[in-house]
Amino acid sequence: MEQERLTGMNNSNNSDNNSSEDIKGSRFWRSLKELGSDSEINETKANEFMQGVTDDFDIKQLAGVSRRKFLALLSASVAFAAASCSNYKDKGEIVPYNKKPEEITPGIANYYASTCTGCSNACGILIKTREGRPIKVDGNPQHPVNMGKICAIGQASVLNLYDPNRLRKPIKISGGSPSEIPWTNVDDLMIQALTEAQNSNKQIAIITGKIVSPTESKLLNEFKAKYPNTLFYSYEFFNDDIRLNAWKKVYGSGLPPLINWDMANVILSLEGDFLGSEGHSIENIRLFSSKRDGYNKKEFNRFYSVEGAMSLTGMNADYRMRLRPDAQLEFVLNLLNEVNNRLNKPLTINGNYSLHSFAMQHGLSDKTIDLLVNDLLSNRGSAIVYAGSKLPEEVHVAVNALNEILGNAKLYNRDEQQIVFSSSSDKQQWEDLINNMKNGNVSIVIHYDTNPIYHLPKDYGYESALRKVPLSVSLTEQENETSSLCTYTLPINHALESWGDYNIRTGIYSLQQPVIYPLYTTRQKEAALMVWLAGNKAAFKDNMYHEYLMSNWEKGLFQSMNMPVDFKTFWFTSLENGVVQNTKAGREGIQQGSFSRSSVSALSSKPQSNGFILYIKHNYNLGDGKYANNGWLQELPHPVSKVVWDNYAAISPETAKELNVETNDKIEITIGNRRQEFPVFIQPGTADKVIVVEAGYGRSKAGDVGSDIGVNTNVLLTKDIQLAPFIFNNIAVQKAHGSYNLVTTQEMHSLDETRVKDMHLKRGIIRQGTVQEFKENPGFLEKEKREQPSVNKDVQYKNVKWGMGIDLNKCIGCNACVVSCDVENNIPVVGKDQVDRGRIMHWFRVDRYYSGTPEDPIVYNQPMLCQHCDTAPCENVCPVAATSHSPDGLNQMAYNRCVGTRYCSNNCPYKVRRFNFFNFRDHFADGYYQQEPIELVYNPEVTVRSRGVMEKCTFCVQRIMLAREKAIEENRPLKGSDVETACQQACPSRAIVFGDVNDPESVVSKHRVHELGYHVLAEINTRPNITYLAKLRNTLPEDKA
Amino acid sequence: MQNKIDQNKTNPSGRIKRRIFFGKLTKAIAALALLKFLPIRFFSNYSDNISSKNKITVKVHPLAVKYGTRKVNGNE
Repeated sequence: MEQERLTGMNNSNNSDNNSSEDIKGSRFWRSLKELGSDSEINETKANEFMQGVTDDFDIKQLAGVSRRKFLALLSASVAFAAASCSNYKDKGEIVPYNKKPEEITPGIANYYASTCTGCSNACGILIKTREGRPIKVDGNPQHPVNMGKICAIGQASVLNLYDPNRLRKPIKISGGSPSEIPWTNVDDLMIQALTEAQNSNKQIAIITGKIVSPTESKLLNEFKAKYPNTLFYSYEFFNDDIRLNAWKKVYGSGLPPLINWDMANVILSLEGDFLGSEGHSIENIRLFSSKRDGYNKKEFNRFYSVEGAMSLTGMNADYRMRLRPDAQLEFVLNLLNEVNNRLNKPLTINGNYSLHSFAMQHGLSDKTIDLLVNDLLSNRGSAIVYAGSKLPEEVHVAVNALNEILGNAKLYNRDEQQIVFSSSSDKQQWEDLINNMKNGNVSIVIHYDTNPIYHLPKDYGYESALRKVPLSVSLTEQENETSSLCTYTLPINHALESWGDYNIRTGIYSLQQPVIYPLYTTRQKEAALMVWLAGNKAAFKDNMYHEYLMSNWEKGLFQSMNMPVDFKTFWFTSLENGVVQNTKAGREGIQQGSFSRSSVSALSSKPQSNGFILYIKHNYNLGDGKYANNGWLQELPHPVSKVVWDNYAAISPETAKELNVETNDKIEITIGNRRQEFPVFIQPGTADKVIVVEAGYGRSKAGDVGSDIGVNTNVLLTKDIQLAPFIFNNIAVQKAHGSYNLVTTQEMHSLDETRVKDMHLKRGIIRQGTVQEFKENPGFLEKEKREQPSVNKDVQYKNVKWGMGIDLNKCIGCNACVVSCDVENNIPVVGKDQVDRGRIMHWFRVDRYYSGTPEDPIVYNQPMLCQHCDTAPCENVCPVAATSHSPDGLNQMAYNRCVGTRYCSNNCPYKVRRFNFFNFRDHFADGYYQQEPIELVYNPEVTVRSRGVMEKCTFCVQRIMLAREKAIEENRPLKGSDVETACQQACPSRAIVFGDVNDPESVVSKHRVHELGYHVLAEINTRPNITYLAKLRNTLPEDKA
Repeated sequence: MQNKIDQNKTNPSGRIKRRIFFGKLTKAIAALALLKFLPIRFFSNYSDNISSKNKITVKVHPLAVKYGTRKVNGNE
């Protein structure tokens, strides 16, 4: 156009210049017609308006909708839409109580003490209820064992109470189809069947889990007394039977002692996971981390871990060596021999051993081995050697001997020991039962909240035997693999609806009380037995087990304690506190036999294979599979691999090269005639040729959330144990076809890629050093601190300013804080596909970093949450001011202002903001978490966020507001110690502190001025309010690593 | 749609007759009323398909004993 005008200026009669020569002479033309001097085009160029454009128009030619009609339609549509849209917030009417229960004040929470039944540790818990419904489970501070803390499973257990998949009524399966049946009919049929079985001399089998309740044990004995043909078979999928048997072999009698981890200066763990899944892990974490305190450099313990699988415990070791599980016996015998020689041979050890040859053969560091031996010898009496519960018995015998000659028995707890009410059934007992079932000698099988079809090795043939039993009953909360084959599936109360008592330690009795009336037509499983015991269906009462429990306590414990009060006072006080300590129990229960030297001399190393070895482990989140239907636990990242919603075969990088596989490929594991395929995950720190898989997945009947998730590891188990129940050597492994998408919340390329390798150290995200460095120069980290000056005047926070401190020496990465935050703040479950897109909604995460080599990485755990920065980069960029800063230092979020630009998340350097891309409650699993009664689990103090809204950690602002209101009520200033955030409350190692930064006496202030204290990414001047204490490794001075 | 002048429905001026208007209004109100009582998920963010027979009653257990009067958050 420009050119044409210019051309036109050059030609005096531009518009008349239509000759083709002129057009041809022009440099530009707009169309072929113009080029061809079309007359129409020429006319168009001459006239501004087309012919006919100004002619009068005919209304009949126009569209049929007039303006009037359009407006009428528009107003009708608007009225229609406005009237028919229901108020989505309208969930019904709030009707005040007609007869208000005395203990409920709407808006005020009540707390009840009880006991967790997630595992056999029976931790004391405090249940927070609102308007009669439990919404949060935390530890009972008065319980002497767990002292106010519980694990991730205990935290998440409240979701199971409101699980829509819970059974609601008794079900009878006849002809393959289920139908509901009233409890009274079941009682009649059961009483009749039990009587007939007794009269016809047929066996009645009851399959139980580990019994840790004295009253339940008494009831079962009474049942047996009434029906003498009853036999009990019990199992605990991951148990300590091997340790128990080894102890008896070495000491003749008694039980393995509890260990005073807080008195240990040196700890050697052999494939042990005492911080994760073995023993009473909550107590172990507290005791272990009490000697890993940034404020107490003199009493730092030193932790050596020798393991084949990278475990949660092994991640926290000062020295870690990789060794396959079947070589552990050889290792400990070599170690025992070396220590024995240096102590002038108090024991006779058969065989020729050389620790250094062994180290060379297995690629262990000679230097580290020397340091280990010297350390054990120089800390005699204050060191402990611990063998993992899955290792063979001989390893435990050797470890007991090692502790004995090193004098480490001083660390055994002499005041308390664990109580065992019943031992697990052995192989012979199971085989007898199954043979009797097949032969028709068993008339009734009662599954007492157990699932043997899933848990027992398939070669027992339990499933086929069960089909031959005339009457099988499953007492269970949810349908499972076993209940689907039983004649009757009887729903039982959830733990929060049940009575019970637990005695897991000498003199410590904890009580379980129901905090909510059973939601459905369920019964306590003990009450079901009691009715059949009474022989009359009319005997059932709602509180019959409660009365039985009270009666047992009145006749038993109350009498033995000689209390100066009456029983009712004692009972109600015990229920109020949740735990009773009978100090008079003393040590009479604790017997330790004398050490048997012959048990050691009988030990000999076994020939080792060089082939692959399979190691089946306990899953930290699902346990033995019981919690497969719990979305919070499925979505909780694995503490080591950060994988969610799946299990996998963890292998070393070297093994991956050998098998020619990468992460997300598949491998097939064959042991004899048992075969299973697993997706591959390359896990740094795994020993070569060791395949590590975790159980608890692959369930076929675990509910809508948990079914068909992961791979069933149990198909590889066998009743014919060779090495150990969960360790198999001489397996065949080959690459399988296909791939599988494993979803992990954390990338792990940092070890291989030069650009990002050790980035967490280079950028100061993790600050670390050694205890020795800290002792010699406490300010050794000062030169690394990168706090920046600011041109702006700092905002003065009057009164309380909230801040948090996290001690990286204490944090072990257990994830209890993550789940506690999920429960407290109504975090939605999003599902595997959304996690894959990076949309996991956890406000709190534990970042896991590696440094060193992929074979022997050094691991760091760092809890990461909103840093509540003073100069938060997210606050400046919100176009609608939905995120702002409060006068007490919180970075606030106004959900109803947020329009979802996500600019704040983009700007956040810590990546702690979470966006609701969907209404996840609706989106996940076809609205599973919108069904009744899931909404009862929500904490009413925290908004449930919907789609399009950004959310993040609020420092539990609801708890801060509650404390502020209480302080106002009491007419006193608010103190930092008045508030405990959910993560702080849950942390078993007490790594998290929270309080008033303006109070110089508060722990959080002390963290800020501590020599080890630092802020993450301080150089970008966000002024975060979370202070981390740098991680110290307690390496020996002679080891300049 | 043609903008026909239907003498049965419109006045000579072209405006809709009063009875026709009220007839349409009545139909619209009836349709609205019907929609209001139907469980239409489209208009609601949450499912209303909860059968009354499956209603769950939350009731505090009458025998539960509350935890002590000491604080449960923060230090004592």
